Amino acid sequence: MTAPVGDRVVDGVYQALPDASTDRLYTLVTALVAEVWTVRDRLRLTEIALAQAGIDVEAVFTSRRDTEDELEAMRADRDAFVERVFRALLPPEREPAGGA
Amino acid sequence: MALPAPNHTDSSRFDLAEGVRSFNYRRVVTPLLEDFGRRAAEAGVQPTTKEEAGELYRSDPAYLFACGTQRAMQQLAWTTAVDSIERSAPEITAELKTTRDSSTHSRLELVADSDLPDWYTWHTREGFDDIHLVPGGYWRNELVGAVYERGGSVYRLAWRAGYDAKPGALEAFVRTAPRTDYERVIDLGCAFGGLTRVLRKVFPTAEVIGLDISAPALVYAHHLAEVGGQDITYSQRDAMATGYDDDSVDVVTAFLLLHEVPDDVRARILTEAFRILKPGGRVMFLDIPPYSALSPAQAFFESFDGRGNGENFWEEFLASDFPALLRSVGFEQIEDGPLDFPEPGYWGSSALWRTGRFDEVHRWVTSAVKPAAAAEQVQA
Repeated sequence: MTAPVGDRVVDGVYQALPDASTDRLYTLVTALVAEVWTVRDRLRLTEIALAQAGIDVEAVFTSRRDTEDELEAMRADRDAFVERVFRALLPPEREPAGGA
Repeated sequence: MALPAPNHTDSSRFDLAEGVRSFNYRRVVTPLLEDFGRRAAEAGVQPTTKEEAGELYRSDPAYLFACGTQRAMQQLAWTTAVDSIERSAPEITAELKTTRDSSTHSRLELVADSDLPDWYTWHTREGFDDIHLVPGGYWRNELVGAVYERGGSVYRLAWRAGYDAKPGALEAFVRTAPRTDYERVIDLGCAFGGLTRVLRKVFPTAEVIGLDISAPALVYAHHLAEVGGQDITYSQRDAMATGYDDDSVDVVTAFLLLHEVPDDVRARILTEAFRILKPGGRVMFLDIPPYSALSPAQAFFESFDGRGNGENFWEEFLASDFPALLRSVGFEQIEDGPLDFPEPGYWGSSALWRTGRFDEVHRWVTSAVKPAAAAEQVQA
């Protein structure tokens, strides 16, 4: 049986899984799980509060349209979300030394 | 067509796809391209080809995930677009039928039981990637026009604005023609009529004809022209054998067609265009820049479409000498270069080579003229 090649330090960076790509992907997945759970829990509490206040939440999803200000806020929130989830995929930050 | 509004889940997915792709271009692709010089220096090489440049990236997880991210978001956008359109399929189908049955401005000519060429259908039939990863290619789904209008706007990172929100570049391209008083203009591989509608606008006296082999694409193009009150004929014909008379057309155009056909088909399309053009008539193409116009690193990133975005003839076209092909067919006055149309918000047409900074080289124009004496040469 071949021993796994993960759980080691490669070029100064800890690597849990057998290759660097899979390791980054798992980091991304766990970040995404944290985001999804946070939203789910916040949504649960929000829906409880809205129902107690007599507001039809389903109607908000089916018929309400965002205003331009709301869309702008959504995009800023989305971009921050993407940054948090996908930051594991970023190339290392280095000073440019001649581009393409 | 005023497509039914996507529901909240569709909208969220489209917003996410645009956000992730924007991140991918700005935060991953751009630094990778900017790091080219350092990588080359560290490797002790000076790449002169896209293949050599690719050696500096192919084993880098950042590059590999950039490819994976692009592909995953492309698939997310199209599958969501299909879901969104299929939910309203009966209404959209009924609207298209109404237009066909009662058109007053435009015409639609379809061929019953037409045989589509094998090169056009086999990727979808065999379950391989098809053009732009659109499920069913451009021919299997009867509502592909609506799917493309919705999903294509996500590709342009502007789904809330709509697919045709900024047609300025197409008009700038058409206006590179030396005249506007033509008698007959034909748009080859017109698909959903994006360029054809602009031809109608810019050439007010011309008979404007859009040709394609995909019936679903033409049905949608005809619908858009009819709703817009435009006098356009859409006809299901093969660009290699259009059936029009010799020397009967002033201008032949094609937008993003050349990279969607194999080499031999491209050559036969040019031969047919040469035949139907009047002496002095012109071909005008707007397409993707050839590798020879780009740096090795840019060309490598541009080449992703041929591997990961269902562009099955991308490589053979972009690596070819298209002006030489035009010359071999008999065209002259060949002009080849970027479209002069500044549009800061334009991300580019290739899937992965995008940086968020405008570069006119992304839109590539090639035009040529049939010699005035060509008719005599052919007869001789």
